Amino acid sequence: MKNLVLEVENLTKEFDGFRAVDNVSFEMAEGEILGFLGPNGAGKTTTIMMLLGLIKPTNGKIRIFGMDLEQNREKILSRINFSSAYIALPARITARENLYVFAKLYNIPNPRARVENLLESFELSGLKNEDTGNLSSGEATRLNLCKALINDPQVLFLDEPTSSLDPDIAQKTRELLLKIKQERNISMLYTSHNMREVTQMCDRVIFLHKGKIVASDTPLNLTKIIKDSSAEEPDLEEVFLKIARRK
Amino acid sequence: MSISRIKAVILQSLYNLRHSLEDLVETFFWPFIDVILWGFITVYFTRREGEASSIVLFLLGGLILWNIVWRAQQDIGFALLRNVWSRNILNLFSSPLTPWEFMFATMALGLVKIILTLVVISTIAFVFYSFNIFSLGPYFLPFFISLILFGWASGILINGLVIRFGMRIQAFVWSLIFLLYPVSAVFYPVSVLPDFLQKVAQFLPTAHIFEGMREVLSSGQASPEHLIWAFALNVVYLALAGWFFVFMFEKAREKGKLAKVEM
Repeated sequence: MKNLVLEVENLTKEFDGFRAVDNVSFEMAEGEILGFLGPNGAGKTTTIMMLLGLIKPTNGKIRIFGMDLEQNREKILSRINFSSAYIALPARITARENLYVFAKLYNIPNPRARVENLLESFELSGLKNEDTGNLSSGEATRLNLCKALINDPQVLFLDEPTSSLDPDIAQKTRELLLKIKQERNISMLYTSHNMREVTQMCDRVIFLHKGKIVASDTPLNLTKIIKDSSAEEPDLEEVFLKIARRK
Repeated sequence: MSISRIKAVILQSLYNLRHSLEDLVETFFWPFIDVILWGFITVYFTRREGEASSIVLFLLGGLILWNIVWRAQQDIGFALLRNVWSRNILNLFSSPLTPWEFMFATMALGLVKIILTLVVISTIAFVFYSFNIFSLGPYFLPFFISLILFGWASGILINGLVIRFGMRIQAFVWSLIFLLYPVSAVFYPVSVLPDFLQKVAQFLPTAHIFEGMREVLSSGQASPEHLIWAFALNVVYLALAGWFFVFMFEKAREKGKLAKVEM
């Protein structure tokens, strides 16, 4: 039986009477990449924000590494990290300085070496002394991923990590993430609107719709259940459309 | 409480200061202009009126000490705002950084920046107008500390409001402290104020400090009562502000506002 790194039980979030996340329960195993899909407004980001301790749930429990998130916030946050296409690092300071600040925030031993290694892995060494605000969106996304890996996390939350990358860099990024996953047995919760990417990356997929989990399985099994029972290849694009258009 | 995390927040602001012209201007340029401008105004008064030398001292002393409060409050406010403007706030608070560590870091950083500002404006006041802020003698240090504590308390209070209500109230960061400017009796004694404002002034550490400053400048001594009141009020306000920030941080998490603080 696999080790569970994340256990979510009856998670609910209401904002002024509106239920953004509705009684959601799921688990993520060590080394698993779990796709978290759904149309805009399905509750994906709210759920991720709750998993990062940035939003307090109305109800339900979140356990990470077997510990309650609310009770062990500092301990847990030091072992996880995240990257989102919708947040940024301070523009006025250099790429290297930004990473160094986060290396100190996560209390990384030998932070300079860690920062240099990550910059090299993401082909950013030549830009390390460039102000972050001068980086292209693709370079900034890669820098965000460096930040997300700074503490060598055991669980990584990735919110559309390749959305602003060109196909070449996006592919390299995916390959690098898969390599990191294999080498370190890292678990990832992965959101994306690119269904080919999700198929390539994810071991299992959860579909959210109107705050509820409506389907959860491997990409191929979901295709069989929702689109065509005789399917031999996953087709998450069709699965997504069928689910998103449900009333 | 992690020293490494506190250092990280300080380091981020120092990197910003090194790269940002606005930050340098905020730290040095406006205090410099203030002292030069008010210096000339007081020189003008000195020439027109025989007994105006004490007015020069009061005005310049008031100006330099008020800058301490203002800078202290701004430094705390900007440390948060810079992270909101750059959309980095979620990166910061999804790390193990706690609201308390963030507060301590901004206070430590503020102290460094205030000392730098103070050195610059005191030197200018001394060189151009022969005004020595240290003529306040042994009273200077407790005045200085007390004003910083009050600046921090108001900065932390404003940060709590920004975290909870978002950027729509960012104007507070610039202006809240100036609401207290007239009641703080920076350039005139509290007795000039109407009765009800005199009562309000009793609860402002700044009013006690500036009353004390005038006593020192005119007689060489301040009654300990002012200092004791100022410190006691500061301890209360700083504790309340710290509690308020953490309370608002938790409220923001509950309402989902931390994730949308830039709005």
